[in-house]
Amino acid sequence: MEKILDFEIKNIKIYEGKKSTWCPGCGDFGVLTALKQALFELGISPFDTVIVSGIGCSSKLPDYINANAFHTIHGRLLAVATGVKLANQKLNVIVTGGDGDGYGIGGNHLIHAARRNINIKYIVMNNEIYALTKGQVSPTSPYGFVRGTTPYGSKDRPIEPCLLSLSAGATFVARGFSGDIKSLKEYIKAALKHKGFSHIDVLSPCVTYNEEYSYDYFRENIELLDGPYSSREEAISSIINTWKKGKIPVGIFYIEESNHYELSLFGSEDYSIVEEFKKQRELKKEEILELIFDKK
Amino acid sequence: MKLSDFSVRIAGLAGDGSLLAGEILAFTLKRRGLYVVSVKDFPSNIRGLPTNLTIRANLKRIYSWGDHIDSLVAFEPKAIKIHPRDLKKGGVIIVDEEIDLKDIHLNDIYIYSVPLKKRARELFKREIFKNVIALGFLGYIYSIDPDEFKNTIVFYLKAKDEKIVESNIRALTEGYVLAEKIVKERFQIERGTDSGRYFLSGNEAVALGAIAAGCRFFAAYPITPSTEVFEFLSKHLPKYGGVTVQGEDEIASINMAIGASFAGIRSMTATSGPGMALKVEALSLASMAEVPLVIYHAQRAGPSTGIPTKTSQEDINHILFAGHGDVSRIVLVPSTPEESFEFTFKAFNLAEKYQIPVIVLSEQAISQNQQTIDDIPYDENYTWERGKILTDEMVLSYMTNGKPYERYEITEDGISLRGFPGQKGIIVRYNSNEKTPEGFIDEECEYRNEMVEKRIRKFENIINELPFPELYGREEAKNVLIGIGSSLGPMREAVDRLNEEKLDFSYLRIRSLFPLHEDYIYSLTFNKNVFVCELNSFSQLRNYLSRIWGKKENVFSLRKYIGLPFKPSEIVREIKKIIKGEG
Repeated sequence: MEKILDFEIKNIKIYEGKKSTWCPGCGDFGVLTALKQALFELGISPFDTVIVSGIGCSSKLPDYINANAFHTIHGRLLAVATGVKLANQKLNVIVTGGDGDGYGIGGNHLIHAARRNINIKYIVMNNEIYALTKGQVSPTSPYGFVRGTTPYGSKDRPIEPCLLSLSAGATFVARGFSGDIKSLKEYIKAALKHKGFSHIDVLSPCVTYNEEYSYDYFRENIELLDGPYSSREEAISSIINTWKKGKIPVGIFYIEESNHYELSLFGSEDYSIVEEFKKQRELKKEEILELIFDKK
Repeated sequence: MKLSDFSVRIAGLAGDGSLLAGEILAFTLKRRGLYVVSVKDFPSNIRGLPTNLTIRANLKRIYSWGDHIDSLVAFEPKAIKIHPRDLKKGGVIIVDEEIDLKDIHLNDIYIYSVPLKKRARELFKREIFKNVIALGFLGYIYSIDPDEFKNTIVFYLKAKDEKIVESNIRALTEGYVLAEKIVKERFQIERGTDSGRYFLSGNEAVALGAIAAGCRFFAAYPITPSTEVFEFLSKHLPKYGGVTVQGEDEIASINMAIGASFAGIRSMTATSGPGMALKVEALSLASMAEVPLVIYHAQRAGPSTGIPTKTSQEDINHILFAGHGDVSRIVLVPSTPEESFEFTFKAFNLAEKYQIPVIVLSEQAISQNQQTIDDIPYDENYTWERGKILTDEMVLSYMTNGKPYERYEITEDGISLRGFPGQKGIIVRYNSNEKTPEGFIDEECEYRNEMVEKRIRKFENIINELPFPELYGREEAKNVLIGIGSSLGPMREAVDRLNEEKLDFSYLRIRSLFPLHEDYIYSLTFNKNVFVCELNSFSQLRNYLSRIWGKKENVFSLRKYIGLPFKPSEIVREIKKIIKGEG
């Protein structure tokens, strides 16, 4: 068995999934490519990897890559992934979704995954639009955006997801651009090596419903920051200052080495409930009754 | 006079210590060899609102607090206005002397106005000890040996400071001293033998059942009346290598449990009505992605946030029909701590065997009240049946045969082999969308029909594995009461009383609501009068059962929705009204 695995891991084709149904030119292709390359270059086996996704174009990604997968429901991807990771810490858990999925309906779970600092890699394909429902505003769409459900211009102000996860306690925060696969791959690799909650917001153009935010627009407007900064505060202020200049900050903003959630819970990075449970047998009656001795 | 059926109610304000006094009394009676049932009636409040606890003890196994109480201990003025109506003739009231009795006129009742709070202040500088002084007073009236109480106090409080134990024993003795001076008539309570029974709540039994069943992951959000399951598991699961997580909300909790189950461990979430409402989308996910999952749901009065601390059977419709799409599920309904244990254990086996969500539907009156039980129903037949799972040895054969592993393989029994992420050599794909056998999104609906039919086929055999309805009384009886959950005790007692009056009744208790033993229920109720008793106002159970009967004549609905379980006398009274044509 080992032999087969050795052979396969030597070829990036092992990560090949189904042919995608994304629109030609979709930004998500860049993310998919960068992710496959990152996994390959780090030699991470698809058998040890789980990709959990939510709902939307971006969340179809698990179909297009060869790895264990759970395509779940809208916005709940981080919650499902938390259960997976706690059950078996040895799995490499990657979560992929979109901006509507993760910053709208799933916004609360982002805050709490970040504060727990669970060792999960969260990649958000942010196209600033709800694409699969054919082009409504998302939580990252700009103020005044005119779309089908906002004919008079959106009155909601956009959120800045990286500031959100930074303030919530994420220990790895970055923003990439799917038009720059080389850099994005490096960010993903760094996130995969990081032990803790890693959030990568990826500017991923929707070529069908969001022509304002095209590849060219991003190429002209992104600014690579000089991160990772040594403090959370510095990272936050650099991001804010960049926005103030009218530029979109990209790069790895912050990395902090601190105990992740599973380590705090189990005291070890090798522990897996799944493996422990495999060794267990039915309890003896006396063992069960011991738990309620004070009820006797 | 010797009492074989004894009930006492302790009424005070939340924070008064009524519950602790009640527990000490209940435990003392249990150790005296009696079966004890305790019923808490309390508000959603930490301090200051009326709270009471009723304890009933009998030589025989009982399941309800019955109709009447022998005595009332009252620490606050409202108690003396509300509860005396439940007192038996010749009953006793022990009331704090600071409560004004001038408008209280009761015939055939012994009223003792006792300086409970005053003595507590004098002896301990703390009023809280009034509860144990009252217990001593009660103990004298009912001729309970002070040593019996002392043993319980030592046993119950031994984990605490020795000084606390000592003070409580002094308070107890003070109660006996006070009683000796003024009590006119004493009674005796029967004595049986306690051969190692347990005094357990439904929630504790559920948690115990989960541990026994191998549940090693639990995620929930605190909600009355299910939280004790969470607390119990948080304390004990780490000992078995497991973990509990308090999710940021109900939605996160159930989805975490789904994730853990996908990864390969037995997992559970616990909740009540409002929480279950939030979990419904994930219930649908578990059904669609075929994830084994156990959901414990303890009902409380609703709708919306309703009355958090009161019992109901108002979530029957919700649990049976919750979910968008054709959602597969199993619904088990326990009535006792024993069944709470047994059904929870069974739920894990069913969930894994059929790869679907299993809901254990309880209610506040069972989940939070304690009962004496003879034993935990656990023997060598309680095994972990994990269903069709892919072992590591089997993985090798998949790899050598070159046949790809299919998570959603179309099979005859509707159940596919469950592989786990991390099994080297296979890729496991779960999907909430309609899917191909390998688990890819089936965008062209190529497999839609086959997948739907596969999920339906699981139900061909499930019914044979579910708890059968329990009949109490004669199969031929002309009249049948039907109920679930906490109705067990009151229904049985009502049936006994009705039969004493030659009214020919039996009681059928349904223990699995979905799937339902329709054929049996149909044949048992054929040509009979049926009385469906339930704790809701919409006749949810009756309407659900109506599909068995169609337009059957003589189906009557008995409903109660105050937030408390039935009393036997209420059922008897209502049925007599109906029989006389007044209903």
